Amino acid sequence: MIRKNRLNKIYLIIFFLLSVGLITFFILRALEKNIDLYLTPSEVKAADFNQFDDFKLGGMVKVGSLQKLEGLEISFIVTDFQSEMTVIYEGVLPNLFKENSGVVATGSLNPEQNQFIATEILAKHDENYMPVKIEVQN
Amino acid sequence: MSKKHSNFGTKLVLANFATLIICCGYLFLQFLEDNFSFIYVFENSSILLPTFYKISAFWSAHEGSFLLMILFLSGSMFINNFFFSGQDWMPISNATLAFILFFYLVFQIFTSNPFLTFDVLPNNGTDLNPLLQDPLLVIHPPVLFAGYVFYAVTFSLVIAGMFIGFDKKLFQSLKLWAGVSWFTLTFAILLGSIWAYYELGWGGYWFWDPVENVVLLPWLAGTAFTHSLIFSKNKILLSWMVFLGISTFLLTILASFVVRSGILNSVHSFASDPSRGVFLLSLFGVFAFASLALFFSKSVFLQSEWPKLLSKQYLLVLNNVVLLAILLIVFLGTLYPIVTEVFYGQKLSIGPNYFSSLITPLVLILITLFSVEQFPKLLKINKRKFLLWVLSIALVVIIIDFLKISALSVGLYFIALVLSILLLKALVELVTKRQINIAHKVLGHLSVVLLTFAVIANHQFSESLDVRLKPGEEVEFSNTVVRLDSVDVEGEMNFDTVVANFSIQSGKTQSNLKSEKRVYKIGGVITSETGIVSTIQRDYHIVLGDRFQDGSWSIRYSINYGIMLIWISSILLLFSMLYGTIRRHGY
Repeated sequence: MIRKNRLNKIYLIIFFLLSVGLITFFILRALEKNIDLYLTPSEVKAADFNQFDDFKLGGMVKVGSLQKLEGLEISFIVTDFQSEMTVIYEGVLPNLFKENSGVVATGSLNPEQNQFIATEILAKHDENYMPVKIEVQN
Repeated sequence: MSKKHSNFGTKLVLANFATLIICCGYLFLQFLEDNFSFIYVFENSSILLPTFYKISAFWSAHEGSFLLMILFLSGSMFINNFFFSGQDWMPISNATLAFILFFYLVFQIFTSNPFLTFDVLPNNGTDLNPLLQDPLLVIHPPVLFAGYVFYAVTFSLVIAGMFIGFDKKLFQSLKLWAGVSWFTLTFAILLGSIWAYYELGWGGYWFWDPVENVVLLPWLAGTAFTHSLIFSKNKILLSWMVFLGISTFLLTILASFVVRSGILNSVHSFASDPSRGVFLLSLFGVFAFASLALFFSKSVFLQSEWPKLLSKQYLLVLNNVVLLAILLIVFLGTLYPIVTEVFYGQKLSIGPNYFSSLITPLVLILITLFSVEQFPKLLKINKRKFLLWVLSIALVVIIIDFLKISALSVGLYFIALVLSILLLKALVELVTKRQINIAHKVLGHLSVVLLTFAVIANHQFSESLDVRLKPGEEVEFSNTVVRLDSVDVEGEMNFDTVVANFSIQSGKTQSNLKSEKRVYKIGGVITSETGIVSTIQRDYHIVLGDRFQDGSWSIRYSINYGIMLIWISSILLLFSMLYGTIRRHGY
């Protein structure tokens, strides 16, 4: 009885180790494929990026920079208050998208025109969304 | 401990709960009376806000929501004392919860006091975030916090068990609390998901965003925990169950830390403050150290046996292993960016593909495991045959993976097959025996299979189109014709709204839907109310974009498959969890 129990224990441990090994292998492989760098405009300017690599551009939408182009094409400037980068996007903007608020764009660089061609735009939503202006009652 | 002491303890718990109710009531009053001299009220309410949302504004930001969580913790401590008074484990459970409550209160008072005031009285508040002005999001946070604190009670029972041993009575109470916590947390996740789909207007229900993932961590651990209660009742791998109980609670604190510290890049950003993050992280450290130290010192004394190979219990242990593997994947995918940022200063984001490609096969394995468990005859094979089975399944999976044939459609057929087999079995059992043995288990597992089917179908078939339309114009897409009938402007109490009326022709059926764009009067915030027509098979979903100078509007038109099935199966799952928890006997 004891021996059988011990055998079961060994089976379980072997199974456990095997599955941990397999899972780690798959996790590493999937991580390698699916990592996007998350960069601000200054970081993009500072580094030398391969134009084919997708990455995420994060920052604020510059006030007054939103322009409607042909069809559904839109351009706006993402700023981190040090550097700026023009983003071109074709499609409907998320409803939370507005000037002077946070945005995360996924896409790649177009090196010739120094533009970022976005394939997906996500606007951040947060609980404190307005510049606070206090009206004082005297 | 004498009865006198324990009675006194119960009274103290009641006193604590009563004072916290008064404390929260006071803050509620400030919201209802528009007392903007309170900074918290000023930041989250306004005169124009409807009364319903003035109440929910209480938990719309960090300070109030944490206070609400503390109130719930104290409340569930009271409920615990009320229902299980006089149990042997009660003093230790109370002590553990009081310990947690103490640290939470210290955190509240020193880093997130909602009672701070201005010296002057502002005229009006800055209003509640329009996105939170939605009935679903009014109930989502309280339910989530309730789920978290219920797991704290479950944790305290596990701690008590380590001291006095796990007897039958403790197991009954544990089963009840674990079930209630599991149900509540599942419900909270479902509410958040429904909100994301209907209100956020991104067209999806789950984005593998860090803030969503960290809630999934305690849920996965909790799922494994609830299942582990079934075998540990028979003293099998008892210490494993204890470990899961502890981990689930620790993960709820980790979730609070990640969400409230703002350490991760999330599209759902909440008020973040480094000092709060540091405090919550140290809190996590203290609880993790204390409970794990206790676990390792006591676990030697927990009588544990190993399950027999290929017994029902054995499959349950395997199920736990798979669930933990999923947990590990979500955990690494969510927290890896923090590690790279802290150590290499490199911000990363991990794409949804990482999660879906890794988790889908594991979910299929999980489904196979619990389906096989329903057919005990299949388990009576010898070890050699079993190994052969495992190897061949592994081989098929690897071949599908490397050949890059659409693994999703293979998965879809597989799940449809499993679904029909399970349904058939349940029906046959119902007809021949007039009842189904452990009905909640059968229903729960069936709904998980249905849910997986709907999720994969949604992933596989959904399409969307971005287009510009003038009133009166129409566009054809995927066998449907969408027409923008008219655009009207309407006014409400605290917002103005543009309403676009669409009609969708699909075959012979025509349906109408409204998509709105609201401009809130304070701050000029713009939100969209997505227009959705739901059928069992698919949803037509229109988000109204911007107006162009020629009078046309940009819209995103999507056809989403299986959304109704996702909600229906989740509700069935919740129902089975509830029934399984409240039924009187067994598991």
